Amino acid sequence: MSSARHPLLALPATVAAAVLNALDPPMRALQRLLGVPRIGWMFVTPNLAILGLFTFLPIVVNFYFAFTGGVQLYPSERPFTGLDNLGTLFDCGNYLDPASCRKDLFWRSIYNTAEFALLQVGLMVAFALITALVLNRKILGRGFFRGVFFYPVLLSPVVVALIWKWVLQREGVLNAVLASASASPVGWLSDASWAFFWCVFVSIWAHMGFYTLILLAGLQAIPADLYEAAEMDGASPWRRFSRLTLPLLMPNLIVVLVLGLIRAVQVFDEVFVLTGGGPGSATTFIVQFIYQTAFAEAIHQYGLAAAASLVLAASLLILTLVQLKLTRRNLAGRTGRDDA
Amino acid sequence: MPKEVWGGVGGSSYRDAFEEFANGRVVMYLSGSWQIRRMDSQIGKNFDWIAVPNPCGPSACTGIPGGAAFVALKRTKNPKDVGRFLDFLASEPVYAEYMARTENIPAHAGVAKKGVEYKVSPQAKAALAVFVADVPKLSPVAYQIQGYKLNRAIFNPTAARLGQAIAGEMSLDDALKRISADVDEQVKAAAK
Repeated sequence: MSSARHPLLALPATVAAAVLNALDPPMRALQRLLGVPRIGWMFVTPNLAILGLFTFLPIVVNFYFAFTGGVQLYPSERPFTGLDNLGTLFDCGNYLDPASCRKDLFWRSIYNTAEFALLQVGLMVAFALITALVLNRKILGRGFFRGVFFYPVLLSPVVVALIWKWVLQREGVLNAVLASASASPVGWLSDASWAFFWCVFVSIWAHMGFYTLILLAGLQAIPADLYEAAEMDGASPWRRFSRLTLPLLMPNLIVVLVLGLIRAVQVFDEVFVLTGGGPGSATTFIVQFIYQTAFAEAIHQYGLAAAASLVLAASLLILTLVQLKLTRRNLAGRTGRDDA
Repeated sequence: MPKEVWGGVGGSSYRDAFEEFANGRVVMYLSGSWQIRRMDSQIGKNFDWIAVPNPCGPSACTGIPGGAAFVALKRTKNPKDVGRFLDFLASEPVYAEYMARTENIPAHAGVAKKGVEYKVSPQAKAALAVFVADVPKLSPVAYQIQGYKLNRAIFNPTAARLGQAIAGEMSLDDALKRISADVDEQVKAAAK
């Protein structure tokens, strides 16, 4: 084997060196101008500007809009209304009965979101755990199945929703299968209960792969000798799972649970394309309510939508704090055990 | 009527029911003259279809007129030329030709009276004639609602609330009350 490198292979390194040499004088001049401690700011400023423009500024504007009224878009033209928008959202005879509320759709969307989040996250974590446990074993075609379960995560939410719409619509694949078995077609998307079920199902199908991957990584980090020792002690498979796997997987499970919950509360795109929030308001979730109030209705009530998004932000903040607390407690518990 | 047509979508989303009609799932489809070209080309000889006059109620036999207008920009540098061009477009023979080629219903009284020679199939021609004949019967209220700048504040809650009633979330009476409340709220919001 010849030790001499082909001149073309050395070309990238030569180009890189030339670029660096060209950049050197202006960078040295800038460093002299700004001083060494401040030069770091120059590198983070572009990112800070983007973050400020597209994240922090909208948050501030949202706050302002939540406490102003009217249909004007320019902040300077919007009259200050104080807590009116929040008052409108929370104007209810009985909070458990959306029909008694002034903004009944807001409350229906809140309850729908809560039900969706509980069902979707609970079922998704359970299925992701089972899938991860299976994929962690030495089964035939393990790499292929890992790819199969992760594949839907790579699809755009709109594509996911359209695929399932073709399957579930009245003239869709599922009803065609039923018809071939001489069964009556079912209104999968026009019946409220079925539409809700399919929203949960499609969401699990689309996102489960991501959470399976996190749990799989957690499972692979558990030392195999622990299982060997437990097996030698005569522990049953269930005991090994409940006393070894579950406790050691808990940090990953907490991450999956909280990330899943946050994502479930923000559900919008897949469901909007799949059902449009219907039938009626059976699958209208909080983000769709915000979108409709701000942009889809004839009169764009930005203030009301901004107030609803404050409610959403508050619930997400609570979920994040719960995650932080649980993670810290879990870490503290593990550290305590390790120290003991 | 299959539940999907009205009840299958949420909010004020509009679900085009043409496919239902074209596939023979609904026997009657209440829509506008803009569907005629589609019916002619997509249904073809699959089955016979006809257009019928607007249904009659206690106060009128009417649909809601659609409409389009020729407009010029106020800040044009050539107002006279633009005016002459608009006159040309609105002149009887040009307008009649324009309607014939685009298969639209004429809003010009003179053209409507003389009739338009649509260059379409006999079936589509008969359907267009039904729409043309219905124009004089349109209620003035229908014109007002079409020209009302906040008309979407009426249309959207109507679709959304009736959808909820069809889905069984509320009674029809409650839906009507909610429509009134929604319209009032949106009109008030627009006035702020």
